[in-house]
Amino acid sequence: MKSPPEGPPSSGSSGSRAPPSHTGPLSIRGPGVTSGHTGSLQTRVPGALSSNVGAPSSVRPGPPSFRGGSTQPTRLGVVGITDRIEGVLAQFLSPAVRKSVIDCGVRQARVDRDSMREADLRRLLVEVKRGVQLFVRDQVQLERCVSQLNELDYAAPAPREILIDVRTEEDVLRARSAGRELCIEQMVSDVLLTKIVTAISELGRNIVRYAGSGEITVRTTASPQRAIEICAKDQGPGITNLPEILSGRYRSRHGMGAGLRGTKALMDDFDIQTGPGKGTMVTVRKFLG
Amino acid sequence: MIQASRVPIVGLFGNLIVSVQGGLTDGQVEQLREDVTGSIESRSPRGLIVDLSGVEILDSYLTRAIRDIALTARLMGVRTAVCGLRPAVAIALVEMDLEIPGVVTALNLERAVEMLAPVDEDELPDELVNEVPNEEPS
Repeated sequence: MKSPPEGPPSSGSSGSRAPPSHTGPLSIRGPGVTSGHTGSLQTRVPGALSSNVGAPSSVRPGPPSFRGGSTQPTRLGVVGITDRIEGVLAQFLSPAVRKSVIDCGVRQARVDRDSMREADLRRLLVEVKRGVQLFVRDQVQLERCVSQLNELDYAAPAPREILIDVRTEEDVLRARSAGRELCIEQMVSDVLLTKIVTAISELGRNIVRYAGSGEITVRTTASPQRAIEICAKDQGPGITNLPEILSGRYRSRHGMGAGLRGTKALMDDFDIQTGPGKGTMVTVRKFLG
Repeated sequence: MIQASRVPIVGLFGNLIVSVQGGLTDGQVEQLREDVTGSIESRSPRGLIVDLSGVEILDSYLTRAIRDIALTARLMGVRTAVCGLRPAVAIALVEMDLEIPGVVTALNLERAVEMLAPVDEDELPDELVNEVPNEEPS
């Protein structure tokens, strides 16, 4: 067991001696606190104000030139997003109506104005759009309004990338939750989410079983289409009978072979580079909406 | 290393019920296979129900493992019902062309229990059927 990084001493453990001057409860902010379980996933949103100072090296921000041309969206964080929505609505709705549309949206989406996350924002926008449809009668105006709201939406989910070192089955489970987390942030439907997480599981198991170790990267991409991309890479022995496996004629001792084939069937894009002694890299993509 | 927790196996109405929750490592699945066959031997159940409503995904390995468990149970004389597949999981299974042969499937746990119960009145001994009060107004 690794000892936890610096942070508030956990109550009851050795030598938790609160400074006498502190009357209030210990602040529970700061690095290390969120890592409740060992090996928790550390992720980072590139371009965001990173409070995650002690992020391990296994996490990389997304490639800098991710969005062709456009600079990283300035993420004001939470503040101001309802103001920005109101700014859009101001062109179409009277003050009283737009206020109630936003308030209603906040309630319906069950978001907290003070601590909104990406997924919250997307939910909020969905609700606001629903409200707008009720009040903006003119079709052309409505389309303009919705498309402007969509711009706020696209600015929201910054490209994300999570990298997991895979050595054991537990790592595969971690990779699965990473994929799930990313999907939820991207408002991916349950069916797509299930397919994506299944693919991660198959690719992860192949790494553990046939290569011993490797890594899985789950990332969002914006071009050419919004997609979730999974890249599984290892330096293992490589696959010698790839056509056979993908055709379904092959069955391994574990009844596998279904893994790669199944992954290919579940995903929209499937690319594999492998060869004897050259390791294996599988890149798959699932397009979103 | 954290000792991986086992999947609980409970008895209900003469059936064994295995409720798989969340993600399992391959090791846990392997353990489950042993535990199930062990429980079948020691508790001689009428049927085996594998409840998958808490499973987030079914990949090729887990599918295969469930198939193996069902086939083993059948060899031992116990019928298996699989129940509670989430819609998304079922869709993914179909797309991957994976099947679980040799088992009946049920919408939920309740239906699965019904399926495995020896209900048919024709199959019951006559004296038992006659004892059932029939109060239908005619």
